[in-house]
Amino acid sequence: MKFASLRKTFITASILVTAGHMDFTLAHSVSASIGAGSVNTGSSDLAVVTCAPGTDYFEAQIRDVASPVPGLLVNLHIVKGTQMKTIADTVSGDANYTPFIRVNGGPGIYYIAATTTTAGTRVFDLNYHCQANNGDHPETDIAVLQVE
Amino acid sequence: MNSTKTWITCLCLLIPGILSAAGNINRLEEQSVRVIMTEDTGAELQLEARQAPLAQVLNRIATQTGVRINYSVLPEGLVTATCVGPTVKQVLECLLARKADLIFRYPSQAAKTVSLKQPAEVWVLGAKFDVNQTNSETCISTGFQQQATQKLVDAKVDTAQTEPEPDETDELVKMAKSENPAERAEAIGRLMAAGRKDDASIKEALETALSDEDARVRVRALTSLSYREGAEAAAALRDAIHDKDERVRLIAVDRAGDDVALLQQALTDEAEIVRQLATIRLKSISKPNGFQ
Repeated sequence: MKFASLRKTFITASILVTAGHMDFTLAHSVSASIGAGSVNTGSSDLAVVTCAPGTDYFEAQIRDVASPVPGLLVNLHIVKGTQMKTIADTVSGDANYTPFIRVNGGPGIYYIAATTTTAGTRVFDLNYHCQANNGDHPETDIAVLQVE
Repeated sequence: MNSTKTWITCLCLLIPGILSAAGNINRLEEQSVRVIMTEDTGAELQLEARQAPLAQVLNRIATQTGVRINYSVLPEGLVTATCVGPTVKQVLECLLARKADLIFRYPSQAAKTVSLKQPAEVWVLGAKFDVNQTNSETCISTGFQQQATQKLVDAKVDTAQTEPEPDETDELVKMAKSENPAERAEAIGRLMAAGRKDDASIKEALETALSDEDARVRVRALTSLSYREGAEAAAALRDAIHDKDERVRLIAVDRAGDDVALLQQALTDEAEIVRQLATIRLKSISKPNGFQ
């Protein structure tokens, strides 16, 4: 009985220890449309993301969830200073995100853009994170600058 | 037995605090000294030190690069520097502003295949310099002007965001009345983020553009108005869900926020893309995530 009581206490303590170290990764995701206000061929949605001190890199991935249209794809771009990464979701309308693209720019301001290859409206999901190499998730703020 | 149980419980409860404190110390150190190794030619080693003791900076470089750095007496005080270079040699010369004597020992010929340029060991003979003579702010190693330029451009881009933009309100409001629909769309779209805050002429221009004959202008007017006015644009969004053009209805859904009635109405829209976005939005309302 005493052993059972001790075991219960130990389990409780272990749960508290685990909870104390649980590091919830905050997901930043958004769904948006692009191309509704397109004047020219392609469209560009632009936002600025501010990564708090402690950030080592900024990463993002995109998923075009609208039904496929030949030649109409969604691209994702990240720019910080003189660094830039880009990727295209080459399969529209499926459940898969592109792989993450990453810019190792430390804390500060990153520009993130979703663009389309030609005229037409799309709906996309976007995931983005400011990240530290040790797995920390510094504060991430976003402000939209342009919607086309 | 009870005392053993209590002791074990207390110990287990204390462990998170102890480990958390250790983690905080490490984080503090990481905030003050950052050493990054990259594959960028000429910028393989990047150092950012902010108000850090010189010994801590040197130790971090040694730990990160594997190059042994020897020193005896170092000046007290804190160092702030940003240095970029291909090897420890250039970064140390930058960090110490060439005020210290540095002796480098390079690996044998065989070992050079592993690291062609990196020294194996460094001695910092610092008797003749003080911490005020070490570099402060941005310092890029001499001979790597490209990296210096990159850093400065980087800093400029970051700074540019915080500097006030020139006031284009009057120009854009005037342009919003252009005969050319493309120009109207451009002006109305730019008024989303540009222009004076709470300016009555902007609000008037956007509200007028909501009934523009060109759908692209209406799309941008709805977008800009909802971003600028927030909840006050709710009525415009509810009107827009009845627009004849699906692109305008799509924006109404896009900017609907948690207006469930509007989103549910959009579920029966004739345009598939409008229904798709409404479905996604309703799902996100029922399962909220990090950002909307």
